[in-house]
Amino acid sequence: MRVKQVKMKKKIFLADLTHTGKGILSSTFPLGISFVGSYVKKIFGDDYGIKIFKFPEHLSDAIMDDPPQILCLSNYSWNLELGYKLSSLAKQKFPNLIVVFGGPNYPESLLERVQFLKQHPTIDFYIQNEGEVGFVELIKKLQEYNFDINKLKNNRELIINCSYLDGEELIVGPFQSITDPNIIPSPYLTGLLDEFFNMKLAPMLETTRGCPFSCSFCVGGLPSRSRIARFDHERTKKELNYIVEHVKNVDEMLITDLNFGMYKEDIITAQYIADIQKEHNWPIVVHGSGGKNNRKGVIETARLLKGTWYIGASIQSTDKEILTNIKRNNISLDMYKDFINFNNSLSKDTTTFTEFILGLPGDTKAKHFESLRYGIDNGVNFVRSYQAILLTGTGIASQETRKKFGFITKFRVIPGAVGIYHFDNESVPIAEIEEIVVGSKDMKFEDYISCRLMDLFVETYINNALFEEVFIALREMGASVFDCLIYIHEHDELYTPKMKEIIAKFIEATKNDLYNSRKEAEEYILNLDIIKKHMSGELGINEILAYKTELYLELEDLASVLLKALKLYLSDNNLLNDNAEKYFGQLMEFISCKKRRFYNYDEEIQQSFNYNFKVIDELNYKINPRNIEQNNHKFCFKLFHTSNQKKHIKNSVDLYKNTPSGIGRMIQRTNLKRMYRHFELIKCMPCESTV
Amino acid sequence: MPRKAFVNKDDCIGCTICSDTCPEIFNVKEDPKYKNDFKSFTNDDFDQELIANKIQEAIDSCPVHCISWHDKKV
Repeated sequence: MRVKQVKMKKKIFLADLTHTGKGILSSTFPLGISFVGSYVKKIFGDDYGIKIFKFPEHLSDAIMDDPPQILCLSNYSWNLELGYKLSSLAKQKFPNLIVVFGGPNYPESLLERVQFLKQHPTIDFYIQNEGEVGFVELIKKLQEYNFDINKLKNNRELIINCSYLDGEELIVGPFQSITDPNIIPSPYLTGLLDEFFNMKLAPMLETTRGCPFSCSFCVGGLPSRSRIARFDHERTKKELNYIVEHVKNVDEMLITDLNFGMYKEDIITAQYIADIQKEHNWPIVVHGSGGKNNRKGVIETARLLKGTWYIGASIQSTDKEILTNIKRNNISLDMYKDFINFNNSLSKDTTTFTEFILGLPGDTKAKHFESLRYGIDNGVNFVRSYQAILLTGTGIASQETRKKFGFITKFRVIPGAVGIYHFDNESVPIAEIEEIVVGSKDMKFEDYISCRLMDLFVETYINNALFEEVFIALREMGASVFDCLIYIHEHDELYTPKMKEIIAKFIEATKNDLYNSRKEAEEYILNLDIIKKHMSGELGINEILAYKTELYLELEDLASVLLKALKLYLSDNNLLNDNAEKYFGQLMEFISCKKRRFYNYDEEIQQSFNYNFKVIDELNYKINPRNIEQNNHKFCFKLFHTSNQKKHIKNSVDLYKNTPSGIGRMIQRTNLKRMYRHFELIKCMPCESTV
Repeated sequence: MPRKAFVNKDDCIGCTICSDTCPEIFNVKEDPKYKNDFKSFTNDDFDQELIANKIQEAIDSCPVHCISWHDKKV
């Protein structure tokens, strides 16, 4: 056996692991780590056997079957513990295993790096910044020292982009960024990622690295990541062709760039994608963070992708003081309006989103509400509010910022980032913990809860265009959609019993499952019974996602509450008349027929209305209901899914059914506007047009 | 011929890398000519040759390559 091992070439396992205990948490290709593998292959040829992993069980089995010399793991906030515990078990079993971590979830301050490495003694070396060069330089040094890491460390060798502990002392190599990423061969074109096309994972594409902005809540805002580097167009084109030739039953693609559409070159990439879409009808959905500036470029990119790109403007907050606190400049209101109007005009299916973060330095309930109002009343049809997460290494996680703004923080399990994993004969419960802001000197905890409830209403009523037709009409009447939502927020007497029950559960879930320290969270969570409760969904849910899904399943209740609220709100503002009351009543029924249980794609519905919604639809629902009289004739409609829709829904259900929140995740991530029933008039009445 | 840094505002994305690199010359602020979007402005009164290396660093760092040297009309 020993003779066999000497003859065999050394193996390197590279893993970007995802939790699977509650379904696949991150259902995307392991692109980042495969770049590292691809570069190692280029530099060392066949000297090393390279293998890429995504799933913990595959990695555990492979290590036990034939352990590598080096185990290299990606470190993100959602997989640190998973990678660390599995590598620790592997090292216990195979003490000569060299464990290397790399990735953005690593402190910036040297003192905190020492603490991190002391808390994670299994990690022999940490590669910071871009991993390709650092990891290759580490291998070269290891070769020099015949893989004797103690000798290497004792000599305190400085390795580019690499840090490690020599006893108590942190040794940090010089920083180097890759000015030309084309030195890294494409992991697609070299076949390194081929096996992942057989898994239910969405392909990822990187065209540009780096971000020029300095936002302090984001790892991309760090100075070490500010340099922009781009892959060649020809390579991107070849990668896209390769992906489309190999992809199976997955309709989505992710672009990992931090500012897609902001650079001139992105237009060319978008044109490639559009060409591929035309020929192959793929990808049906493109995910990617839009450029924070250069709206013209982003608009052109969106125009080329014809509504398949989930496009938006990340605002985070509209408050100038908060923006200064986080070192951010937003686009101007005029530009924002132009942008949203353009996006909404692209096609009926287009989704335009805006993101906000609750609890940023200086945030208050009033400021958060103003931010939401800004997005909603400017016509965005998808608004998402995140909690402020204190990510390792970011500016807002620094002690200085915490103290200055009096953050009240809690620890929780990252929803879905749990599981019981097996190595050798051992079963280990593993969970990822994150720290979130739930208050500050400017925001009481009660205000935080109130904001979260408002966020739930926004998610439920605004997103996925669930009641878009109603809100367009409200705007035509000169009413504020956001004020109508505030009315719902402040009048719980309007809620149906079912809705009251769901909202009570939501508030309870928002308050619970929070811990005062990481240690406290780990002590409670890391036992098999509690982990099993997380895996079953009894604990540790993404409460917005879970209860938004529950509310969606009660679409008729949602519609009735909205109808009651908008009548009262319009009445208070002297905008309600008989016409409007009747119109909104039937519109709610029509919406329910079109959008309820979209995933039951064989369910066909027939229903009659006193309004010709075919004509109203052609007007994009831009009518003032006060001015339309109910028709005496009945218009009978058939509402159904097309064959293309059925295929797309089936593919999406298959992709998301194994994720932590299943249908909820699908509602969160896909463009539901493409999944709602089409409709046609099946009985033509003499007086067809009513508007 | 004396020279000065010039920002092509059509391409500028207001990212502040230039003003972080060389605050003596570059200042990013709202520009009414661009619907109040953030754009980089240059301080043309400053003798730019005195800090030409720093300006060059800002030029090289610009992610959209919108800064260049232009002849300064006397």
